[in-house]
Amino acid sequence: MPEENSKKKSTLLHIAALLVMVLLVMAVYHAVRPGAGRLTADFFYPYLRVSRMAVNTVSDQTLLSFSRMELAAKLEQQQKVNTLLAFQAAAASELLRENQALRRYLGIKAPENWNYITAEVMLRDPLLWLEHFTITRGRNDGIKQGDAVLDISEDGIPILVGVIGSCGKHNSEVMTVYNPDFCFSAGIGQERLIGFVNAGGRQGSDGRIPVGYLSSADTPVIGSAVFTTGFEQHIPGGIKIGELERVEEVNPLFATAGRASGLIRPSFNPNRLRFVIIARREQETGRP
Amino acid sequence: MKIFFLVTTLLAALLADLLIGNFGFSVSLTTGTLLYFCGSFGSKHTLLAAVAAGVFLDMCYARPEAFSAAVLLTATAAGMYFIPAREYRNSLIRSLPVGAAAEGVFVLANAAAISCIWGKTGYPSGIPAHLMTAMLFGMLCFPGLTILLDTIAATLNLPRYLVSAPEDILPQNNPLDDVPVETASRRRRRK
Repeated sequence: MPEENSKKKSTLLHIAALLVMVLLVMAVYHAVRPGAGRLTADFFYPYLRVSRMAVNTVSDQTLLSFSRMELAAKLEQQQKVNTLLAFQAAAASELLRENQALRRYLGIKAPENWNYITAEVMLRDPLLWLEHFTITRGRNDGIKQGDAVLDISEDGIPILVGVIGSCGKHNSEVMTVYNPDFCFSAGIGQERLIGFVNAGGRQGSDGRIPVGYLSSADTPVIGSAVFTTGFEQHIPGGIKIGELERVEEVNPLFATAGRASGLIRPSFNPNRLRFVIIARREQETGRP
Repeated sequence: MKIFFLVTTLLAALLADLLIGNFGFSVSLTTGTLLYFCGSFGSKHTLLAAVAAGVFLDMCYARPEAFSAAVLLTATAAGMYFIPAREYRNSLIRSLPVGAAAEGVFVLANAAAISCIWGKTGYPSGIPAHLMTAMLFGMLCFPGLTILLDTIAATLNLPRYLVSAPEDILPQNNPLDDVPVETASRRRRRK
Protein backbone atom coordinates (compact mmCIF):
# COMPACT_ATOMS: atom_id res chain seq x y z
CA MET A 1 0.00 0.00 0.00
CA PRO A 2 2.71 2.57 0.88
CA GLU A 3 4.47 1.56 -2.34
CA GLU A 4 1.32 2.25 -4.34
CA ASN A 5 0.96 5.64 -2.65
CA SER A 6 4.51 6.62 -3.43
CA LYS A 7 4.03 5.52 -7.05
CA LYS A 8 0.92 7.69 -7.32
CA LYS A 9 2.76 10.61 -5.74
CA SER A 10 5.64 10.17 -8.16
CA THR A 11 3.26 10.14 -11.17
CA LEU A 12 1.49 13.26 -9.91
CA LEU A 13 4.84 14.97 -9.37
CA HIS A 14 5.88 14.10 -12.91
CA ILE A 15 2.65 15.49 -14.36
CA ALA A 16 2.98 18.69 -12.31
CA ALA A 17 6.63 19.07 -13.35
CA LEU A 18 5.66 18.65 -17.01
CA LEU A 19 2.88 21.24 -16.74
CA VAL A 20 5.23 23.73 -15.08
CA MET A 21 7.78 23.03 -17.79
CA VAL A 22 5.24 23.68 -20.58
CA LEU A 23 4.19 26.95 -18.92
CA LEU A 24 7.83 27.98 -18.55
CA VAL A 25 8.52 27.10 -22.19
CA MET A 26 5.55 29.22 -23.30
CA ALA A 27 6.70 32.17 -21.20
CA VAL A 28 10.35 31.95 -22.29
CA TYR A 29 9.32 31.50 -25.93
CA HIS A 30 7.20 34.63 -25.77
CA ALA A 31 10.19 36.60 -24.51
CA VAL A 32 12.86 35.27 -26.88
CA ARG A 33 10.68 34.59 -29.91
CA PRO A 34 11.57 37.58 -32.17
CA GLY A 35 15.23 36.53 -32.30
CA ALA A 36 14.98 32.83 -31.61
CA GLY A 37 12.50 32.01 -34.35
CA ARG A 38 14.63 33.50 -37.08
CA LEU A 39 17.85 32.17 -35.55
CA THR A 40 16.42 28.66 -35.70
CA ALA A 41 15.34 29.19 -39.27
CA ASP A 42 18.85 30.42 -40.14
CA PHE A 43 20.54 27.50 -38.40
CA PHE A 44 18.18 24.91 -39.87
CA TYR A 45 18.00 26.65 -43.26
CA PRO A 46 19.10 23.60 -45.34
CA TYR A 47 16.76 21.36 -43.31
CA LEU A 48 13.79 23.65 -43.88
CA ARG A 49 14.73 24.14 -47.54
CA VAL A 50 14.39 20.39 -48.15
CA SER A 51 10.68 20.49 -47.34
CA ARG A 52 10.16 23.27 -49.90
CA MET A 53 12.18 21.45 -52.54
CA ALA A 54 9.84 18.49 -52.24
CA VAL A 55 6.79 20.74 -52.68
CA ASN A 56 8.36 22.43 -55.71
CA THR A 57 9.14 19.06 -57.28
CA VAL A 58 5.48 18.05 -56.94
CA SER A 59 4.42 21.40 -58.39
CA ASP A 60 6.80 21.07 -61.35
CA GLN A 61 5.68 17.52 -62.04
CA THR A 62 2.06 18.72 -62.09
CA LEU A 63 3.03 21.27 -64.74
CA LEU A 64 4.70 18.55 -66.79
CA SER A 65 1.53 16.47 -66.69
CA PHE A 66 0.02 18.84 -69.29
CA SER A 67 0.20 17.67 -72.88
CA ARG A 68 2.59 19.38 -75.32
CA MET A 69 -0.34 21.07 -77.09
CA GLU A 70 -1.66 22.46 -73.82
CA LEU A 71 1.79 23.72 -72.82
CA ALA A 72 2.28 25.32 -76.24
CA ALA A 73 -1.13 27.05 -75.94
CA LYS A 74 -0.23 28.34 -72.47
CA LEU A 75 3.14 29.59 -73.71
CA GLU A 76 1.49 31.40 -76.58
CA GLN A 77 -1.02 33.00 -74.22
CA GLN A 78 1.81 34.05 -71.91
CA GLN A 79 3.71 35.59 -74.80
CA LYS A 80 0.63 37.67 -75.68
CA VAL A 81 0.35 38.86 -72.07
CA ASN A 82 4.07 39.70 -72.02
CA THR A 83 3.73 41.74 -75.22
CA LEU A 84 0.81 43.69 -73.75
CA LEU A 85 2.70 44.28 -70.53
CA ALA A 86 5.76 45.48 -72.48
CA PHE A 87 3.59 48.06 -74.27
CA GLN A 88 2.05 49.16 -70.98
CA ALA A 89 5.50 49.47 -69.40
CA ALA A 90 6.69 51.57 -72.35
CA ALA A 91 3.65 53.88 -72.00
CA ALA A 92 4.21 54.12 -68.24
CA SER A 93 7.89 55.00 -68.66
CA GLU A 94 6.89 57.71 -71.16
CA LEU A 95 4.44 59.11 -68.60
CA LEU A 96 7.13 58.94 -65.93
CA ARG A 97 9.52 60.89 -68.12
CA GLU A 98 6.83 63.50 -68.77
CA ASN A 99 6.00 63.64 -65.05
CA GLN A 100 9.65 64.16 -64.17
CA ALA A 101 9.96 66.97 -66.74
CA LEU A 102 6.84 68.71 -65.41
CA ARG A 103 8.06 68.37 -61.83
CA ARG A 104 11.36 69.89 -62.86
CA TYR A 105 9.59 72.89 -64.48
CA LEU A 106 7.41 73.40 -61.41
CA GLY A 107 10.24 72.82 -58.97
CA ILE A 108 8.56 69.86 -57.25
CA LYS A 109 10.76 67.15 -55.74
CA ALA A 110 10.69 63.90 -57.73
CA PRO A 111 9.15 60.92 -55.90
CA GLU A 112 11.50 58.21 -54.70
CA ASN A 113 11.91 55.15 -56.84
CA TRP A 114 11.54 51.59 -55.61
CA ASN A 115 13.71 48.55 -56.15
CA TYR A 116 12.26 45.10 -56.32
CA ILE A 117 13.74 41.78 -55.18
CA THR A 118 12.10 38.43 -55.88
CA ALA A 119 11.88 35.75 -53.19
CA GLU A 120 10.54 32.24 -52.98
CA VAL A 121 8.10 31.09 -50.33
CA MET A 122 9.96 28.60 -48.15
CA LEU A 123 7.62 27.56 -45.37
CA ARG A 124 3.87 27.80 -44.81
CA ASP A 125 2.20 27.30 -41.47
CA PRO A 126 -0.83 25.02 -41.95
CA LEU A 127 -2.57 26.40 -38.87
CA LEU A 128 -1.93 30.09 -39.57
CA TRP A 129 -2.10 29.61 -43.35
CA LEU A 130 -3.42 33.08 -44.13
CA GLU A 131 -1.56 35.10 -41.50
CA HIS A 132 2.14 34.49 -42.14
CA PHE A 133 4.79 32.57 -44.08
CA THR A 134 8.56 32.41 -44.46
CA ILE A 135 10.52 33.49 -47.56
CA THR A 136 14.03 32.69 -48.75
CA ARG A 137 15.49 36.21 -48.49
CA GLY A 138 16.91 37.86 -45.43
CA ARG A 139 19.26 40.53 -44.13
CA ASN A 140 22.04 39.26 -46.41
CA ASP A 141 19.91 40.28 -49.40
CA GLY A 142 19.25 43.74 -47.98
CA ILE A 143 15.77 42.97 -46.66
CA LYS A 144 14.61 44.96 -43.64
CA GLN A 145 11.73 44.64 -41.24
CA GLY A 146 8.67 46.48 -42.56
CA ASP A 147 9.49 46.17 -46.28
CA ALA A 148 6.41 45.68 -48.45
CA VAL A 149 5.81 42.24 -49.97
CA LEU A 150 3.95 42.19 -53.27
CA ASP A 151 2.58 39.66 -55.73
CA ILE A 152 1.20 39.92 -59.24
CA SER A 153 -2.43 39.03 -59.81
CA GLU A 154 -3.51 36.81 -62.70
CA ASP A 155 -4.27 39.90 -64.81
CA GLY A 156 -0.79 41.35 -64.19
CA ILE A 157 -1.67 43.95 -61.54
CA PRO A 158 0.66 44.30 -58.53
CA ILE A 159 -1.10 43.44 -55.28
CA LEU A 160 -0.10 43.83 -51.66
CA VAL A 161 0.64 40.57 -49.81
CA GLY A 162 1.96 42.00 -46.55
CA VAL A 163 5.12 43.28 -44.93
CA ILE A 164 8.29 41.70 -43.54
CA GLY A 165 7.52 40.92 -39.90
CA SER A 166 10.95 39.73 -38.78
CA CYS A 167 14.22 39.22 -40.56
CA GLY A 168 16.92 36.57 -40.32
CA LYS A 169 20.17 36.29 -42.24
CA HIS A 170 18.84 33.98 -44.95
CA ASN A 171 15.08 34.17 -44.52
CA SER A 172 12.29 36.43 -43.31
CA GLU A 173 8.82 36.07 -41.92
CA VAL A 174 6.05 37.81 -43.85
CA MET A 175 2.97 39.17 -42.05
CA THR A 176 0.15 39.10 -44.60
CA VAL A 177 -2.76 41.50 -44.92
CA TYR A 178 -4.88 38.86 -43.14
CA ASN A 179 -2.76 39.23 -40.00
CA PRO A 180 -4.72 41.31 -37.45
CA ASP A 181 -1.45 42.80 -36.14
CA PHE A 182 -0.71 44.43 -39.50
CA CYS A 183 -2.61 47.75 -39.55
CA PHE A 184 -2.10 50.22 -42.40
CA SER A 185 -3.93 52.95 -44.28
CA ALA A 186 -5.91 52.31 -47.47
CA GLY A 187 -7.51 54.50 -50.14
CA ILE A 188 -10.90 53.35 -51.41
CA GLY A 189 -12.15 53.92 -54.96
CA GLN A 190 -11.21 56.71 -57.37
CA GLU A 191 -11.82 59.29 -54.66
CA ARG A 192 -9.29 57.50 -52.43
CA LEU A 193 -11.41 57.75 -49.29
CA ILE A 194 -9.12 56.92 -46.42
CA GLY A 195 -9.66 54.00 -44.08
CA PHE A 196 -7.47 51.77 -41.93
CA VAL A 197 -7.14 48.07 -42.66
CA ASN A 198 -7.32 45.68 -39.69
CA ALA A 199 -8.55 48.48 -37.48
CA GLY A 200 -11.93 49.66 -36.23
CA GLY A 201 -14.77 47.77 -34.66
CA ARG A 202 -15.01 44.80 -37.01
CA GLN A 203 -13.38 41.38 -37.05
CA GLY A 204 -12.28 39.75 -40.30
CA SER A 205 -13.96 36.50 -41.25
CA ASP A 206 -14.18 33.99 -44.07
CA GLY A 207 -11.20 35.34 -46.01
CA ARG A 208 -12.23 38.98 -45.61
CA ILE A 209 -10.26 41.67 -43.80
CA PRO A 210 -11.80 44.55 -41.86
CA VAL A 211 -11.35 48.20 -42.75
CA GLY A 212 -12.26 50.79 -40.15
CA TYR A 213 -12.41 54.52 -39.45
CA LEU A 214 -14.08 55.30 -42.77
CA SER A 215 -15.81 58.63 -42.88
CA SER A 216 -19.56 58.00 -42.89
CA ALA A 217 -20.08 61.35 -44.66
CA ASP A 218 -18.58 59.99 -47.92
CA THR A 219 -20.01 56.53 -48.36
CA PRO A 220 -17.71 54.48 -50.59
CA VAL A 221 -19.17 52.48 -53.46
CA ILE A 222 -19.37 48.75 -52.83
CA GLY A 223 -17.05 46.87 -55.18
CA SER A 224 -14.55 49.76 -55.40
CA ALA A 225 -10.90 48.82 -55.60
CA VAL A 226 -8.84 49.47 -52.46
CA PHE A 227 -5.26 50.70 -52.84
CA THR A 228 -2.33 51.50 -50.59
CA THR A 229 -1.98 55.21 -49.86
CA GLY A 230 1.79 55.53 -49.71
CA PHE A 231 1.55 57.12 -46.25
CA GLU A 232 3.59 54.27 -44.76
CA GLN A 233 7.31 54.69 -45.25
CA HIS A 234 7.95 51.19 -46.59
CA ILE A 235 4.79 50.54 -48.61
CA PRO A 236 4.56 52.05 -52.11
CA GLY A 237 1.33 53.87 -52.92
CA GLY A 238 -1.23 52.76 -55.50
CA ILE A 239 -0.78 49.03 -54.94
CA LYS A 240 -4.05 47.14 -55.02
CA ILE A 241 -5.16 45.51 -51.77
CA GLY A 242 -8.54 44.18 -52.84
CA GLU A 243 -12.14 45.21 -53.32
CA LEU A 244 -14.56 46.70 -50.84
CA GLU A 245 -17.27 44.15 -50.24
CA ARG A 246 -19.35 45.58 -47.47
CA VAL A 247 -19.75 48.81 -45.51
CA GLU A 248 -21.55 48.88 -42.24
CA GLU A 249 -21.81 51.63 -39.74
CA VAL A 250 -20.66 50.70 -36.27
CA ASN A 251 -23.29 51.15 -33.61
CA PRO A 252 -22.75 54.69 -32.30
CA LEU A 253 -23.59 53.54 -28.79
CA PHE A 254 -20.49 51.39 -28.72
CA ALA A 255 -18.13 53.22 -31.06
CA THR A 256 -17.15 56.66 -32.25
CA ALA A 257 -20.11 58.14 -34.11
CA GLY A 258 -19.56 59.27 -37.67
CA ARG A 259 -17.14 56.47 -38.46
CA ALA A 260 -18.04 53.44 -40.51
CA SER A 261 -16.33 50.15 -40.99
CA GLY A 262 -16.39 47.53 -43.73
CA LEU A 263 -14.90 44.39 -45.15
CA ILE A 264 -12.37 44.01 -47.96
CA ARG A 265 -11.95 40.94 -50.14
CA PRO A 266 -8.16 40.83 -50.64
CA SER A 267 -6.81 40.27 -54.15
CA PHE A 268 -3.93 38.22 -52.76
CA ASN A 269 -4.65 34.51 -53.12
CA PRO A 270 -2.74 32.60 -50.43
CA ASN A 271 -3.22 29.25 -52.17
CA ARG A 272 -1.28 30.10 -55.34
CA LEU A 273 1.67 31.70 -53.65
CA ARG A 274 5.13 30.54 -54.70
CA PHE A 275 7.15 33.67 -55.49
CA VAL A 276 6.76 37.16 -54.03
CA ILE A 277 8.36 40.53 -54.74
CA ILE A 278 9.85 42.70 -52.02
CA ALA A 279 9.72 46.45 -52.59
CA ARG A 280 12.50 48.62 -51.16
CA ARG A 281 13.01 52.35 -51.45
CA GLU A 282 15.94 53.19 -53.73
CA GLN A 283 17.45 55.46 -51.07
CA GLU A 284 17.71 52.53 -48.64
CA THR A 285 19.43 50.24 -51.11
CA GLY A 286 22.20 52.83 -51.59
CA ARG A 287 21.74 52.97 -55.36
CA PRO A 288 21.46 56.34 -57.19
CA MET B 1 22.32 4.48 -29.88
CA LYS B 2 18.88 4.91 -28.35
CA ILE B 3 19.27 8.72 -28.20
CA PHE B 4 20.65 8.82 -31.75
CA PHE B 5 17.67 6.78 -33.00
CA LEU B 6 15.21 8.99 -31.09
CA VAL B 7 16.69 12.29 -32.29
CA THR B 8 17.12 11.19 -35.93
CA THR B 9 13.64 9.73 -36.18
CA LEU B 10 12.07 12.72 -34.49
CA LEU B 11 13.85 15.15 -36.84
CA ALA B 12 12.69 13.09 -39.83
CA ALA B 13 9.11 13.12 -38.51
CA LEU B 14 9.27 16.88 -37.94
CA LEU B 15 10.58 17.35 -41.48
CA ALA B 16 7.68 15.28 -42.79
CA ASP B 17 5.28 17.45 -40.75
CA LEU B 18 6.80 20.60 -42.27
CA LEU B 19 6.53 19.05 -45.72
CA ILE B 20 2.86 18.12 -45.27
CA GLY B 21 2.25 21.52 -43.68
CA ASN B 22 3.56 23.24 -46.81
CA PHE B 23 0.62 21.69 -48.68
CA GLY B 24 -1.77 23.14 -46.08
CA PHE B 25 -2.54 19.94 -44.17
CA SER B 26 -2.13 19.98 -40.42
CA VAL B 27 -1.45 16.37 -39.41
CA SER B 28 1.26 15.16 -37.12
CA LEU B 29 3.64 12.31 -37.84
CA THR B 30 5.62 13.50 -34.82
CA THR B 31 2.83 12.37 -32.48
CA GLY B 32 2.95 8.87 -33.99
CA THR B 33 6.72 8.75 -33.61
CA LEU B 34 6.50 9.92 -30.01
CA LEU B 35 3.92 7.23 -29.25
CA TYR B 36 6.18 4.62 -30.80
CA PHE B 37 8.99 5.72 -28.48
CA CYS B 38 6.59 5.72 -25.57
CA GLY B 39 5.71 2.09 -26.31
CA SER B 40 9.30 1.04 -26.89
CA PHE B 41 11.43 3.09 -24.49
CA GLY B 42 9.01 4.39 -21.83
CA SER B 43 7.05 7.55 -21.24
CA LYS B 44 9.40 9.91 -19.35
CA HIS B 45 11.87 10.60 -22.15
CA THR B 46 9.04 10.68 -24.68
CA LEU B 47 7.14 13.43 -22.89
CA LEU B 48 10.30 15.53 -22.69
CA ALA B 49 10.89 14.88 -26.39
CA ALA B 50 7.30 16.02 -27.07
CA VAL B 51 7.97 19.38 -25.41
CA ALA B 52 11.25 19.80 -27.32
CA ALA B 53 9.61 18.86 -30.64
CA GLY B 54 6.77 21.32 -29.99
CA VAL B 55 9.16 24.20 -29.32
CA PHE B 56 11.18 23.29 -32.41
CA LEU B 57 8.04 23.29 -34.57
CA ASP B 58 6.93 26.69 -33.24
CA MET B 59 10.38 28.14 -33.84
CA CYS B 60 10.52 26.80 -37.39
CA TYR B 61 7.13 28.28 -38.20
CA ALA B 62 8.05 31.49 -36.30
CA ARG B 63 4.70 31.36 -34.55
CA PRO B 64 3.84 34.29 -32.30
CA GLU B 65 3.10 31.95 -29.34
CA ALA B 66 4.46 28.52 -28.38
CA PHE B 67 1.46 26.26 -28.14
CA SER B 68 2.73 23.19 -30.02
CA ALA B 69 4.59 21.86 -26.96
CA ALA B 70 1.34 21.70 -24.99
CA VAL B 71 -0.54 20.31 -28.01
CA LEU B 72 2.00 17.54 -28.69
CA LEU B 73 2.14 16.69 -25.01
CA THR B 74 -1.67 16.41 -24.81
CA ALA B 75 -1.89 14.34 -27.99
CA THR B 76 0.91 12.00 -26.88
CA ALA B 77 -0.66 11.59 -23.44
CA ALA B 78 -4.03 10.76 -25.07
CA GLY B 79 -2.38 8.20 -27.36
CA MET B 80 -0.47 6.69 -24.43
CA TYR B 81 -3.76 5.93 -22.74
CA PHE B 82 -4.67 3.65 -25.65
CA ILE B 83 -1.31 1.86 -25.94
CA PRO B 84 -1.97 -1.75 -24.90
CA ALA B 85 0.19 -3.52 -22.31
CA ARG B 86 3.38 -5.04 -23.70
CA GLU B 87 2.11 -8.63 -23.71
CA TYR B 88 -0.89 -7.63 -25.87
CA ARG B 89 1.15 -5.71 -28.42
CA ASN B 90 1.32 -8.55 -30.93
CA SER B 91 -1.11 -7.27 -33.56
CA LEU B 92 -1.17 -4.07 -35.61
CA ILE B 93 -4.96 -3.87 -35.23
CA ARG B 94 -4.48 -2.95 -31.57
CA SER B 95 -2.44 0.08 -32.63
CA LEU B 96 -5.27 1.54 -34.76
CA PRO B 97 -7.04 3.36 -31.89
CA VAL B 98 -3.69 4.69 -30.61
CA GLY B 99 -2.98 6.64 -33.80
CA ALA B 100 -6.62 7.72 -34.24
CA ALA B 101 -6.89 9.02 -30.66
CA ALA B 102 -3.58 10.88 -30.83
CA GLU B 103 -4.42 12.58 -34.17
CA GLY B 104 -7.93 13.41 -32.99
CA VAL B 105 -6.68 15.02 -29.79
CA PHE B 106 -3.96 16.80 -31.82
CA VAL B 107 -6.60 18.50 -34.00
CA LEU B 108 -8.84 19.37 -31.04
CA ALA B 109 -5.95 20.69 -28.94
CA ASN B 110 -4.69 22.80 -31.86
CA ALA B 111 -8.18 24.21 -32.45
CA ALA B 112 -8.55 24.98 -28.73
CA ALA B 113 -5.12 26.64 -28.52
CA ILE B 114 -5.69 28.79 -31.62
CA SER B 115 -9.17 29.67 -30.45
CA CYS B 116 -7.80 30.77 -27.04
CA ILE B 117 -4.92 32.78 -28.47
CA TRP B 118 -6.34 34.27 -31.69
CA GLY B 119 -10.07 33.70 -31.37
CA LYS B 120 -10.44 31.52 -34.48
CA THR B 121 -10.33 27.82 -35.30
CA GLY B 122 -7.29 27.51 -37.58
CA TYR B 123 -9.14 24.96 -39.75
CA PRO B 124 -10.93 26.77 -42.60
CA SER B 125 -12.64 23.56 -43.77
CA GLY B 126 -14.24 23.09 -40.35
CA ILE B 127 -13.15 21.10 -37.31
CA PRO B 128 -15.42 17.99 -37.78
CA ALA B 129 -14.19 17.37 -41.34
CA HIS B 130 -10.58 17.84 -40.34
CA LEU B 131 -11.02 15.72 -37.23
CA MET B 132 -12.31 12.79 -39.29
CA THR B 133 -9.51 13.12 -41.85
CA ALA B 134 -6.85 13.37 -39.15
CA MET B 135 -8.21 10.35 -37.24
CA LEU B 136 -8.25 8.30 -40.42
CA PHE B 137 -4.71 9.45 -41.18
CA GLY B 138 -3.60 8.49 -37.67
CA MET B 139 -5.29 5.12 -37.90
CA LEU B 140 -3.44 4.29 -41.12
CA CYS B 141 -0.22 6.07 -40.33
CA PHE B 142 0.62 4.74 -36.87
CA PRO B 143 0.68 1.02 -37.84
CA GLY B 144 2.81 1.90 -40.89
CA LEU B 145 5.16 3.94 -38.74
CA THR B 146 5.35 1.07 -36.26
CA ILE B 147 6.40 -1.39 -38.97
CA LEU B 148 9.02 1.00 -40.33
CA LEU B 149 10.50 1.95 -36.97
CA ASP B 150 10.38 -1.64 -35.70
CA THR B 151 12.42 -2.74 -38.71
CA ILE B 152 15.03 -0.04 -38.01
CA ALA B 153 15.01 -0.81 -34.26
CA ALA B 154 15.54 -4.52 -34.94
CA THR B 155 18.50 -3.69 -37.18
CA LEU B 156 19.98 -1.46 -34.47
CA ASN B 157 19.26 -4.08 -31.80
CA LEU B 158 16.94 -1.74 -29.86
CA PRO B 159 13.65 -2.56 -28.10
CA ARG B 160 10.71 -2.80 -30.46
CA TYR B 161 7.08 -1.70 -30.11
CA LEU B 162 5.48 -4.87 -31.43
CA VAL B 163 6.18 -8.23 -29.84
CA SER B 164 6.17 -10.92 -32.45
CA ALA B 165 7.60 -13.82 -30.43
CA PRO B 166 6.83 -15.12 -26.89
CA GLU B 167 10.39 -14.46 -25.74
CA ASP B 168 9.73 -10.77 -26.39
CA ILE B 169 6.76 -10.88 -24.02
CA LEU B 170 8.18 -12.79 -21.05
CA PRO B 171 11.76 -12.53 -19.90
CA GLN B 172 13.06 -16.09 -20.10
CA ASN B 173 16.12 -17.60 -18.50
CA ASN B 174 18.77 -18.18 -21.06
CA PRO B 175 20.41 -21.61 -20.39
CA LEU B 176 23.63 -20.27 -21.83
CA ASP B 177 23.80 -17.65 -19.03
CA ASP B 178 24.97 -20.34 -16.57
CA VAL B 179 27.79 -21.54 -18.80
CA PRO B 180 31.05 -19.87 -17.77
CA VAL B 181 32.54 -17.77 -20.49
CA GLU B 182 35.77 -19.12 -21.88
CA THR B 183 38.18 -16.22 -21.89
CA ALA B 184 41.74 -16.22 -23.18
CA SER B 185 43.22 -15.82 -19.66
CA ARG B 186 41.24 -18.78 -18.32
CA ARG B 187 42.38 -20.91 -21.25
CA ARG B 188 46.00 -19.98 -20.52
CA ARG B 189 45.60 -20.79 -16.81
CA ARG B 190 44.08 -24.21 -17.62
CA LYS B 191 46.97 -25.01 -19.89
